[in-house]
Amino acid sequence: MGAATSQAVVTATLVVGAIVLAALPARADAPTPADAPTGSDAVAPAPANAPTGSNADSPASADAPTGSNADAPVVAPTGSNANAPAAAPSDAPAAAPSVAPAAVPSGAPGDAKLDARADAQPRPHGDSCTGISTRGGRFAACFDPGNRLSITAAAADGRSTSAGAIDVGFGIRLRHEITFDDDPDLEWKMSHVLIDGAHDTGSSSFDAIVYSGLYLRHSRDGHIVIPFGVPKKVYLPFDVGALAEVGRFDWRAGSPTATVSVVRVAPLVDFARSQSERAVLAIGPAAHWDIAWDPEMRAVSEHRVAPFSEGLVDLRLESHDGLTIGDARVEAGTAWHSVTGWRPEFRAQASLERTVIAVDDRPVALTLGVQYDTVTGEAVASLGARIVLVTKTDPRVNLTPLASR
Amino acid sequence: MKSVYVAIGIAAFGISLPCFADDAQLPTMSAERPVLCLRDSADQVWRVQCDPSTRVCLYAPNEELDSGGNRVKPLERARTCELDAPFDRKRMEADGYTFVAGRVDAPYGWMRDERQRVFQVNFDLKRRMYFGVAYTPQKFLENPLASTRTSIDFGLLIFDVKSGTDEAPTMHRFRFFEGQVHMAPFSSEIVMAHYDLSHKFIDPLLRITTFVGEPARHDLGLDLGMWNEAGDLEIHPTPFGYSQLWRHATSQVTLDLWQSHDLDSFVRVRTGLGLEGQRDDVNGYRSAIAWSSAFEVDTVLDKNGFHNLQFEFVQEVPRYFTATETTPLLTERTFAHLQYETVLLAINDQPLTFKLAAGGEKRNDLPGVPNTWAFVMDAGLRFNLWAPPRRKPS
Repeated sequence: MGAATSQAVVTATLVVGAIVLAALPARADAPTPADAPTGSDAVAPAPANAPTGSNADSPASADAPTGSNADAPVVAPTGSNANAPAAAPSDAPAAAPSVAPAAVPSGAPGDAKLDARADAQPRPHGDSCTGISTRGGRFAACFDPGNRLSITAAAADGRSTSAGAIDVGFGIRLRHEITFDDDPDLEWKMSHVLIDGAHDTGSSSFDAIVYSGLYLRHSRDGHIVIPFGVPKKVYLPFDVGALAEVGRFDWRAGSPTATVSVVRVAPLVDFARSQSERAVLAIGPAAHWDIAWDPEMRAVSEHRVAPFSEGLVDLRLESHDGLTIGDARVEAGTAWHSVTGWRPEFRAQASLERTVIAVDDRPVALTLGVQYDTVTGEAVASLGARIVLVTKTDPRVNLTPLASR
Repeated sequence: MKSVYVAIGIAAFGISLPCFADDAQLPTMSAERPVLCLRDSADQVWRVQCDPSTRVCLYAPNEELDSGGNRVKPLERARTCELDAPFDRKRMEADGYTFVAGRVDAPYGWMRDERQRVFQVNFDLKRRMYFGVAYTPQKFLENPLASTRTSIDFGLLIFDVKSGTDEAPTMHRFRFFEGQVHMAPFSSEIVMAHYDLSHKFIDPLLRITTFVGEPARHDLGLDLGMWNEAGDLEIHPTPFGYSQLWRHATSQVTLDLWQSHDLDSFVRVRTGLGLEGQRDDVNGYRSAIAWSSAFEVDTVLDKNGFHNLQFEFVQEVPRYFTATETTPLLTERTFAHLQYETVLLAINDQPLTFKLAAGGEKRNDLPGVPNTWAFVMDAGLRFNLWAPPRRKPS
């Protein structure tokens, strides 16, 4: 890595860090519109006295003490509680249902849970994400960067390319959630990247990936189940998930081989535990199979396999309005090379994206990225612009003309 | 690498030890009978279910409890309970009913602990994404001291879809990007896309009536199906470099010799044709039409999906369009593979499984590789995502 390249990488890293530090706290300090959600995308804590299904709508139950012995039962149950485990409520028999209970409000438990969840999530607040021009026209002020088709043009430093070359890129991102009616505390957060790549216009260099997916299972109740004997549940403070990548290609002009990453997988634990996909801090062991392909010989020159012998850290942060996105990934460990045996490997990449303007409600963003890979021994820094051609309108945005509202 | 596996083993067994400490079990409410939600004098809501046959009423809090017995959150995966129902406890006790603390019922494939927390205890490993690592000692018969090696395996999307009626179901099985990679020496196999179909036929294909003695009818059922794979890649080391075998597409007809009622398990034979090509550093690339047949067993041994057994015996006869100095026009490959997989534990309801496998192969299509049986064993762990509960028996 040349001195100029190193300097560029260090500079870019500092700039990325500075922008992240400047941009993310600004979100917290920003004035919140009256109808904006205060919880943002943080996981809503479970209300200690959350009403359950049957009494969710009951005002009397809202402040009901939990596990209270204050009111003795009218008639104690005759069933013995001698075998009740320690975790069972000590007042369970005492608080057993009394004769002719008071009128219970109608409503299903499932409904109540859904209601509670709705309160925990950001409420619709179209006005905070919808701007109004002086002429009364509406425009989007929030964007969904997880669902888009975009093109990118960036100047990169560090590649063995001709000076002044521009990387032209293309990518499709999709994300969605899978929820369950019978378990509103459970949610699968699915992020997909399809056909994402960049080509150096000054040479034949290119890198691309066919598919990359990040699947995170968010549950308010993390646990391990030990199925032996009587199944047992042990609490865990994280979500679980996985990263899967298929078909990554990397060809650098002047390099004797191209790298084909056939598959890369990693089971992950996510400590961010965010209900939305705007915050991810995932860690896990990574496995991959890469091929070094010699285009002149038209043959494989080396296989590189990491059997979960590398660690992976994936960090993603996205501002509430979707204007600022930062992500970083670090992989480190050892991999087996079919020619040279076990060798240490280290890869790191970080990127920052900031939307500065929007054309017809399609964002145009400045991008900054750095990456380093010990296998290629090259560090790359890039600075460019990303134009979103197709995007899904953020559900918080209301673009209906005022006249027809 | 050994330290990694030792650590995994210590962690797994270390975690599992406390599970045997507390076997106290409260009775569970029936998912088939109605349940009442009643409020006590302290304004707490309880679920109550009475069984007239045993004159026992189970009661449980309508919320999850913390370790101190305090109600902390709504029940997960709880069904709607009947409200506003008349309930005269004194009269019921006078009638001989007893009230016993219990657990709220959970959906099929789930259960609750004494704190009413729900967790999955039934796993469908035929619907999942998985990846794992295995320790793979290998020995060739002619070289018992051959190297040991490690492998990874993965299946990015495995699922099946059941259609049709209960009497005549059809099972569509899909697998995408499934394979394994062995190290030291390197070899790999990946299948991009797999689809097979099983159908249970109500009407027999042939019915034979015999008139010797009392006339009798004998049905000959032929549960035919299909089996297809596309984009299969095998890479093997040879004395002359790596050999890459591309099975571009293979299509076979299947005959199920035995099917379970839900079509989750089967024993079958299959046969068909495929188009393939092999490339090695000696002969370059050459194409072939391959006739292949297999005997296959895939069965789930228990109703909760914890124990899964697979066996496959495959014979392939590729007929190459051009002969080479190292391989003839007609070659032969024989594979056998046996695998047992069981659920060890579940992390956030995502199962961690243990796989034990053994296999062998004998082939004469690889240049420089002796045409003799080679055996391999696998023992490893797989992390699985999704794996919902198995379909409830109808």
